[in-house]
Amino acid sequence: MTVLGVLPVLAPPPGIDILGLLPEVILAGGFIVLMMLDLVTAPAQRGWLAVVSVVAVAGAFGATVWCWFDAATPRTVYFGAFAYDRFGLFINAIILVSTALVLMITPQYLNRRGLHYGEYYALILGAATGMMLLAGAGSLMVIFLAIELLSIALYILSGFNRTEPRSQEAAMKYLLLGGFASGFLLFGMALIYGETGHTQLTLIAAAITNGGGTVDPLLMAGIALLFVGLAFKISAAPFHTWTPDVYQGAPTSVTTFMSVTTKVAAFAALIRVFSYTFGEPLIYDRWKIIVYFVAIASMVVGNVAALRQTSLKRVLGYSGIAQGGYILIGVVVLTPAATWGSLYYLASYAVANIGAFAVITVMANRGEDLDSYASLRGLAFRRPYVAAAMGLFLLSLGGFPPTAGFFAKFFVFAAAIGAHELPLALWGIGTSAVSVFYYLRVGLLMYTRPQPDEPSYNWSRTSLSGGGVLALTAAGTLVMGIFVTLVLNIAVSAQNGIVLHG
Amino acid sequence: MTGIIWVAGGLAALSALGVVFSPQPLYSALSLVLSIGALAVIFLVLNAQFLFVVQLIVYAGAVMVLFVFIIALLSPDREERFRVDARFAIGVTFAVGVTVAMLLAARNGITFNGNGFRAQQIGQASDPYHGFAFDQSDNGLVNTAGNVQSVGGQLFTTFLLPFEITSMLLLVSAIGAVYLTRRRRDPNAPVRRERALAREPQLEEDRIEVEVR
Repeated sequence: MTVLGVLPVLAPPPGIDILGLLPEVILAGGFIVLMMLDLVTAPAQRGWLAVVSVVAVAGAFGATVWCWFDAATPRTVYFGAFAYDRFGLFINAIILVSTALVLMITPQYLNRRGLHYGEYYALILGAATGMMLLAGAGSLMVIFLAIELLSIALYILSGFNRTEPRSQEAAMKYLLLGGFASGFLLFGMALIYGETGHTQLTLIAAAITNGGGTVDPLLMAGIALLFVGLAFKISAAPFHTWTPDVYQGAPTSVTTFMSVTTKVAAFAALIRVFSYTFGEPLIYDRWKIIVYFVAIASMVVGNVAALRQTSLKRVLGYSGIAQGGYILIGVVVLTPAATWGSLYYLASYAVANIGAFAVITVMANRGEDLDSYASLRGLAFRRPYVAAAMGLFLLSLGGFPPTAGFFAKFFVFAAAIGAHELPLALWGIGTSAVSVFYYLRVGLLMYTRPQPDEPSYNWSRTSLSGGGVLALTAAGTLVMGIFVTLVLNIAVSAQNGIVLHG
Repeated sequence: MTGIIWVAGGLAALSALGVVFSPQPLYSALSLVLSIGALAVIFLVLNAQFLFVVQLIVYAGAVMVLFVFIIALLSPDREERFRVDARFAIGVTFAVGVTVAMLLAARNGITFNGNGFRAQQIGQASDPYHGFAFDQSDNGLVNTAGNVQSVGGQLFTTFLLPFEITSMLLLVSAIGAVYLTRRRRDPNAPVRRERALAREPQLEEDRIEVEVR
């Protein structure tokens, strides 16, 4: 073999484009470096692993920002398997910021629980890599594998507290139900592949357009099954049963992480697949019915069930189900306004929900989490700033101005009304009114003075990193509620930049 | 060729029945090996050499070794005797029904002519998407290049990224398995020893204590 014959091997073949995966590659590299560092780190020094992982996340975030300017003209890389576009990068940014915030509150919480092991950080980075891959997935195979990557890491993280039966129960429940959901997902993908002959989303969209005119029942079955699989990950209503138990049982720092990032990543895939791949009117008319009712069911079930809870984590779990219902409105409605509305909603939900769970995590003492309503009573008199921040997050989740949540709901409902889907918007507004009850109940408890003889919960002191996370999320909630266009412009440009063809 | 398919198919069906009806778990497992092997022969006859090899290595090899190993490890004393009752009748009806339904559904997909079995585009009659069709003639692309080459080519082009993600997935799973099953010897994170001992009576220390007493 001549030298010239070998040379083409050195140059990457067309289609392989590592640049399009830069943030994911950096994060995956951080994951491997962390596993090796864990071997040489003394147990008492494990806080440094958190620092290293935050650095890796920051590196990936920097790469994401750079790619944002580079991806002005979107394209797919790796033979259509991955979309390099601003839509995916916007979701990446949300995931990375959330991950960094979670990593900052983690070491202290793990130390209090006697769980400070290096695997935690590696698994968090692994899950985040899976989520970023899901956000940019351009092929059914990548969607499936990314979902498995993030799910398996989260199963382990939910059961991270191995001596605590609740944590074990959470991991087991999540694993079994998640396995079922993966089965649905894979079966749906197989049917779609069988009907269209492709796994790449752009080619599937083209095949559907070419085959227009008739709707094959097998294709519709595949789409429905795919939706079931994804609806499980966003914990939409008939598929939500695992959510409260897992949120309550898992270590709170893990709950903080997965309640936000999983939902954000799965919604990105949902929007990319349903709104932009199955958008063909004949197909849309059919799957719209399913998504429509799942959205309404999520809003009703989430909000009504949250009213009857007595555990703060479960309230936030059910509130997350309801929030998923509101974001689903943005999937049902196909207009661009609905898509950037959902993106804005995801960003605002991430900030407020991370903040609310961070309060539980940061205030947790050595014994138990800040979970019961009784433990909240009088928080405002001992930790006034924490209580004020918590109140702000609850207002944002409830959708009050001048917080991020108000504009998020406003954009989504306005998009629904603009597309002549008034009933959806009315369901959303009605159930939001219900949600005010339980958000305000939690808020009022914090400002209720406890009885003098009542034993109060022993709240922890806020550390520098914990206080920093609360300050950052509170600031984010306010900034997104006051300087709306700041994030809105980015969301709109993310929607514009979504890759549609090859 | 057709004769081989009939023989191998019959063998697969018979040994599948053996899996269900044999009184000993070990015989069930060995019948399963035979069933898998017979299916592998069918794959080979249908020109799917890659599936043939994978079927043998992964299922007949790795998976079955695990089955047999676990059966040997648990050493079940006796299988509950086989009884024909209402549950049995329901099960048989269900299984036969599913089989018939599958055959009816597949009548579009697999044709049988004088020369042999041919898989064709599924649901051709009603399928509006004619964007793809496998060239299945003996001179078709898949068969001339060879199955293994085709799979390899696809694996390192269209499915390169999924292939790479799989490696990360395996790494995460391995870390999780090690974390969840490893015993802690970490001074910084004290596992409550009394509780751990009470829960795991097979621990070394426990056994010694019992023997001393």
